[in-house]
Amino acid sequence: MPVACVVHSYRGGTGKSTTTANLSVLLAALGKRVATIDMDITSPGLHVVYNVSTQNMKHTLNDYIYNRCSFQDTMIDITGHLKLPRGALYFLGSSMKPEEIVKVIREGYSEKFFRHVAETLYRDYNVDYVIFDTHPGLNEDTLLAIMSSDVSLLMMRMDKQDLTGTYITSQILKKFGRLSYVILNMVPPNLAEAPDLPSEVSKIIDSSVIGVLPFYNEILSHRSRGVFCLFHPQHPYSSQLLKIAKRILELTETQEAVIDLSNTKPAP
Amino acid sequence: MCGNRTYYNPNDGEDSQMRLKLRTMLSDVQTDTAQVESVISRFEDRLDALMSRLDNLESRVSRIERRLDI
Repeated sequence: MPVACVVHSYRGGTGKSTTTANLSVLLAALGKRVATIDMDITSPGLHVVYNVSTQNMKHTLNDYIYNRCSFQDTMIDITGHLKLPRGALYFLGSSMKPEEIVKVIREGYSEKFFRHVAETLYRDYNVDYVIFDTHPGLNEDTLLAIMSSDVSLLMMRMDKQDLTGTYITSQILKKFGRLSYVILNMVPPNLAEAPDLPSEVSKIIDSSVIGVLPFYNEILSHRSRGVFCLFHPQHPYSSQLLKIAKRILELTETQEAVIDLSNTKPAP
Repeated sequence: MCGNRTYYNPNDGEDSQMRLKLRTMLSDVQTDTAQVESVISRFEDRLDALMSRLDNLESRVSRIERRLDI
């Protein structure tokens, strides 16, 4: 089975989709076969970062959930589209049509979805890593994605609102017996240089900080027009994310972070 | 229909076990917001101290640079 990672945050605007897109490309660059799923069903946008036109998304996650198409119809192999020299990258996007978004909010979907997606990706695509980009906050579907994944990556900005929310989220995840890692994003550049920052945050959130990404004007100026690290592979942001990608490989390949779902029981 | 799977079935009790567990656990959570605020407030103080140390360091480096005419 592939390692299932969920990228999550308490608040919106923490850089989940940007990080998901860049991490997936870097994991592929490290020779892995990766699939990303846009589970931010109520406000999807990962396809924009990958520069995949909605016209090329003949079928979406929404069609698959409601049995309107096969899994193969929804998966897009974007390895060639992004000109990745190694590994493989598949993408499953969500519909931006309001009527489809409302349908999912109203009717929901099966909790077996996550397990089935992981199994199919492994069996038919030989995928090593599946990354779920989620909707922010403590909503049921996002928690379901977290419960169904091996590793949770919590994105956090260094402001008081996000810090408080992430603290509460990490407490909840602990109750559910989930292992989470924190990525600090858009950190004020002077604070990002403080060597004590990761350990200070780890202490308070009680989860390991596996990366500190300072705020860069260049990311803002890039305006989500493609995957940043492909345009600027030498930029410090790309180097920092590469370190995070390698850390994720270390954690998961040594089985340190992987939890056997069959044994998953919420903590008392 | 594609294949024999069905994803949308909110009335399937067996299918919603984890959802039910999530709902139950979330409903049972008792969050002490005063305690959360106190923890975050203490952390903010530590961050301020960290930033202040960095600012002091930066100003000392600038002073040295000025003296050395760098």
